[in-house]
Amino acid sequence: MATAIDAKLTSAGRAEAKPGTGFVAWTLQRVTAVLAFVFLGAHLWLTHFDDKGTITMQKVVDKVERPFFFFVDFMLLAVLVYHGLNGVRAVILDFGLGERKQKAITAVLWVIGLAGVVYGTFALAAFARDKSFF
Amino acid sequence: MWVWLLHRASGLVLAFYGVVHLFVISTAMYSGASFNDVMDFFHEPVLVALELVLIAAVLFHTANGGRILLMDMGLGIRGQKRVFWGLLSAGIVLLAFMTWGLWGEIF
Repeated sequence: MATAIDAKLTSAGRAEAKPGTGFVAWTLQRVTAVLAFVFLGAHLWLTHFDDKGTITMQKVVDKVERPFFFFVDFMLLAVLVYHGLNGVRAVILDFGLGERKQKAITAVLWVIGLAGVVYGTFALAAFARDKSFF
Repeated sequence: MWVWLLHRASGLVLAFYGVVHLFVISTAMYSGASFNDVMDFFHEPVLVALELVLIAAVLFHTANGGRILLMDMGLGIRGQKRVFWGLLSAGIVLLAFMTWGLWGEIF
């Protein structure tokens, strides 16, 4: 698979964590995939199935003010931002740009990712503006 | 090869959607009224239909991703095609369920 481009295999066929092989990114892509599945399922259930009809500010406020829902949405944000940008990175790296450009692109994606999570957390917190724990 | 390509295509579509979703939801930072207006806009039938396309992309990407995860663990390598069609069928069932749920909002 494309996202296993750098994972080196031992003679026994197991992926080995040698530095510089992209093993961490490869593993985290799978970990975040499973986590995304869990949190996305929770998010969709809680947001759309438990409460049908047009979404209004008040409905969202009622949910996000509760720490559990806030946690689920925050985790979803963090996990998906990582998984998505890591995937975009895999697509870009497969164009074979050379090591220096690869490092630069990875750095840019990290900046975008962290900015995205921070911005998203502020957006999420906007729904809980009136609650005391912010 | 096509499955790999579709996995990438659906991934990019979903990544793009993620960015859009982030900015749409963040309209709540301005005011509750602006957020409600935006939410009403997304209840237009055309946009609800587009949501089904989004759901299809999510389900395909998840089903194939599940297959990749199984294969990475060494399971289902020889029965790859069966695993793929099995997971995809589960995805299609879910898509049908979602379509049924959203039908009233489109037509």
